[in-house]
Amino acid sequence: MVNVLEKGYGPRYNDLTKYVEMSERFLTTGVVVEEALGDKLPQERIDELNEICNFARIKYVFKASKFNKNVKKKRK
Amino acid sequence: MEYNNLSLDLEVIERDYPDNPLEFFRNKKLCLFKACLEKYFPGVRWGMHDLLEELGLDVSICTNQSCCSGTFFQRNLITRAQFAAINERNISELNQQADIVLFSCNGCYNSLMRGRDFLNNPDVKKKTQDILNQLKKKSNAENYPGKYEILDNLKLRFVHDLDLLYLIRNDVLNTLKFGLKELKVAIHYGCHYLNLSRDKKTADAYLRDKTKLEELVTLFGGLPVDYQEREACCGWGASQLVLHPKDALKITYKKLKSAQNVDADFMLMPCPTCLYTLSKPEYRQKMNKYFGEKLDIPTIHINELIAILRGCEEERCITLRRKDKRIMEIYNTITSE
Repeated sequence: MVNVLEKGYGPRYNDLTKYVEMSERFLTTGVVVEEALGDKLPQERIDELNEICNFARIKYVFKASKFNKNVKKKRK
Repeated sequence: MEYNNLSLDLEVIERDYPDNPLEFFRNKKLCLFKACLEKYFPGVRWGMHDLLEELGLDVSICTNQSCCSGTFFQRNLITRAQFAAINERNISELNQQADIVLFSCNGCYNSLMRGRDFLNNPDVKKKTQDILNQLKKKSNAENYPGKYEILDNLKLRFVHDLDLLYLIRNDVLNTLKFGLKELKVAIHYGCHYLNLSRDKKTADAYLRDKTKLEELVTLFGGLPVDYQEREACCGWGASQLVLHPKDALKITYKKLKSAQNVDADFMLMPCPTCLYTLSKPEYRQKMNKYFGEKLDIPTIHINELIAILRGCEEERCITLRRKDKRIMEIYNTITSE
């Protein structure tokens, strides 16, 4: 049978970075994938998600991802 | 067994509408819950949308709905109360838009009922309401009553796409342009469909063999084939695919290999998350690397398959112009003269 699965999709990595990025996307867009199908979630609902997730680990993961990005930028 | 009263009672519909269950859904507003992983398989959503429109039902895509957040709860990144609060906000918004919400994803379907079940714990319920009260305080306008309340006695009901398709299978059959031409089909249900008790009223309903996909395949002219790993997990296993990729992919490999061993033409499933795991080219390559065998069996979601069988244009219902080699072989086989 011919290989019908050549074209790829989704993240190419397979480590915990995945969850950092998923957390970031959830708290900024309300979904866990980039460019999800359909309408975007209104900002009011995204603000709600951030309020709900206050003091949750997901927030710390998100903050850590921003911190790491800043460190990388400074090093450059 | 604890029945979640948000789930649509299919037995009552079968009893009250024995000749044409589709009639139950007339004059009801349906909306399709947006599962995140549908992004990679647009036909899962648009195929279903197009089918229900053809059947004359009032159907739309759910708006103002966030990710079900099950993935974060499973990884201990949010608490039960936070999960339940995200869930209640989704439920309130869905309740504004629809009478019945349809789910293409086993995980989302389970998550929305699970969030409700957590409220049976008084502590979690209180914490959840506290969070919703905080949202209410910060909100500029409560543009509909009960927006930040835990709504009891909801009329809103949830149903899995597969359960709906099975319930209205005769009407679905009437929309088909092509048959399955006796293709051999390996069925995969996924753990959260096979083992879900929240939408079952009795132990018997929970324990009895799940055969809806097999019955649909037979009805559409295909041959369901039994294989050893039929009830096994796809390999996703929450975080296992990330934490222990080789062990997780061994499960995926055994599943696909088992289906190939019985000469299945393709594998059929009712969940985009399972589809992602069983299809992703990167995983297929890794399986080849780990276990020394290239597995080529194509995979497809039931909504995509029905869209193909209906002859719904590739661009409109299946790929949205995003060519996907995964299903092209199935597509070409079914639609060829």
